[in-house]
Amino acid sequence: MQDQLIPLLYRADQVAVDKRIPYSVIFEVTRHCNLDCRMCYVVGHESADPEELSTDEAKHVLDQLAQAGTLRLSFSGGEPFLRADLLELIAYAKQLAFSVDIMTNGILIGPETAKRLKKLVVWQVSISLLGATPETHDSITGRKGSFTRALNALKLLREEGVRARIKTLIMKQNFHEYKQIIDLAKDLGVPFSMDPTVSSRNDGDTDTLSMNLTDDQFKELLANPSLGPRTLSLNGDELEANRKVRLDGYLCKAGISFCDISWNGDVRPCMQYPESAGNLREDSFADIWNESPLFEKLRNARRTHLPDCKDCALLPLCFRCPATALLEKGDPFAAYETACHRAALMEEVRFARIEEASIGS
Amino acid sequence: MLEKMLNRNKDVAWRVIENEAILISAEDSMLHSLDEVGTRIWELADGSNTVGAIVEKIFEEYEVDRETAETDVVEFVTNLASEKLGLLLLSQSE
Ligand code: SF4
Repeated sequence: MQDQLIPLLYRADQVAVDKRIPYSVIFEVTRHCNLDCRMCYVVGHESADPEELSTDEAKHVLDQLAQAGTLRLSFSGGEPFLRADLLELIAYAKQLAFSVDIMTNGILIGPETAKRLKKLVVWQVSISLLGATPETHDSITGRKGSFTRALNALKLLREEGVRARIKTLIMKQNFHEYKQIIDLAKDLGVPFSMDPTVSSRNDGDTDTLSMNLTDDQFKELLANPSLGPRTLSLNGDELEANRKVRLDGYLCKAGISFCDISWNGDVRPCMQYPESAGNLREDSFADIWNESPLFEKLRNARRTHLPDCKDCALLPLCFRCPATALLEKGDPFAAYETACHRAALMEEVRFARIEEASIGS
Repeated sequence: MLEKMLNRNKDVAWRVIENEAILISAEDSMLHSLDEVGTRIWELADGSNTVGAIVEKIFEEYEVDRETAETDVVEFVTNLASEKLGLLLLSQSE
C-alpha cells in the first residue's frame, strides 16, 4: 500500500503537472518590508498596502488552497514576519496539513520565534543573504545591522533544528563575495542557492537591471562547478537531443502546478508576472485557477509554439521566462534581449568546457 | 494492536489527489505516496478509530476477506508507525 520512498517532491510535482493541481503556491502575505534593498521588485514596500488581506481573509485563502490540492506553501512578502498574525497563519496552515516554508530577511527571528517555528514544524526557512560581510549586505539592504541579524537567525534556526537555507541574489554589488557566501553556508552547515537574475520592479521600472552581473562575472559564476546548470556539461549532440525533448514542454510551472497570491488577494502565475488572473475578494480560487484565460493561455503554450525560439539551438541553455518576456517585450512568448544574451554567454562557457576537456584528455 | 487508536502524525503534510495520498514527512522530508486502500486507512486515522475498527471498514468497503484485511492493515500500520517512518501514531484507546 505504500510505495518505496521517492526522492523529495519529484513525483508529487509530476502528478500535479499532469493533473493541473496548484501543488506549490507562494503567498506574499504583505508588501511591507523593514529593509530597503536596492534591487527589490516590490514597489511600495515601505508600508503595508491598505488593501492587505485580513487574518480571516488570509485563512479563507488557505482553506481554498487546501481544497484545491496545494501541498507546498511558501509564506513570503515583503517581509512576512511584519504581519503580526504570521505565526497564527502558519499554525492554521499546519492544521490544514500544508508543508510550510518561509522566505524572510531574518531580521525578526529571535530565540522565541525560532522555538515557535520548530514547534510548528515548518519545513524550511530561507534567509536572504546579500553578502558575506556586514559592509556588503547592509549596503544593499540599506539597514545597518541587518547582516548580523540575518546570520543570527540562521544560527538560531540551526540550534533549534529548523531546516534553514541561504538564498542569495548575486549582482554587481556582491559578486566579489560569492565564494565567501558559499564558505559561510558550509561553515553554518546550511544549503544555499544563488540566483544571478535581478528583475524589473513590479511596476515595470527597469532601473534595477543595471545591477545585473557583467558578462565576465556571469561567466565566472557559471564556470564554478557548484553553481552552473547541468546543461553546461552536455556535448553538441546531447544538447540537440535535449532541445527536441524540451520543445514539447511547458514554458515553466507557472499556471500549471504553481502560482502566486499577493497581499491584496490577486492570483498571478508567479511573483514577477505583471498581470493578475483574478482577485480572491471577487472570485473563488477554484474559479480563477480553472477558468482564468491567463492560466489557460500559459497552459496551452509549449516551447514549440514560440515563433522566435522554436528553432533556436540555444533553447536548452536558455532561461527565458514568460514574465520577463512580457515585461521586456510586451509578449510572454517572444524572445527578449536579456535571455538571448545570457544564453549566448552560457554557450561560450559550455564550449570552453568542452575545449578544456578535449585538451586535458 | 487491534485495540489501539490510530492517529496521523500532525507533523506530516499531506493531500489526497485523485484517491492517492501524498505525504511529506517533516522529519526527513521524504515523500511517500499511498494507494487507494492505504489512503483510506490514512483518512480514517483521525484519532477516532481503533485499528480493529479500521480493519472492519476495509473489510466492508473492499472486496477482501476479513483475515486478509486484518493482515494488510496491521502490516501497513506497523510500517508507517515504525520508528523510521513515524507517520502514524498508535495510542491506547480510552
Ligand atoms: S529567448 Fe533567445 S536564446 Fe532563448 S530560446 Fe528564445 S531565441 Fe533562443
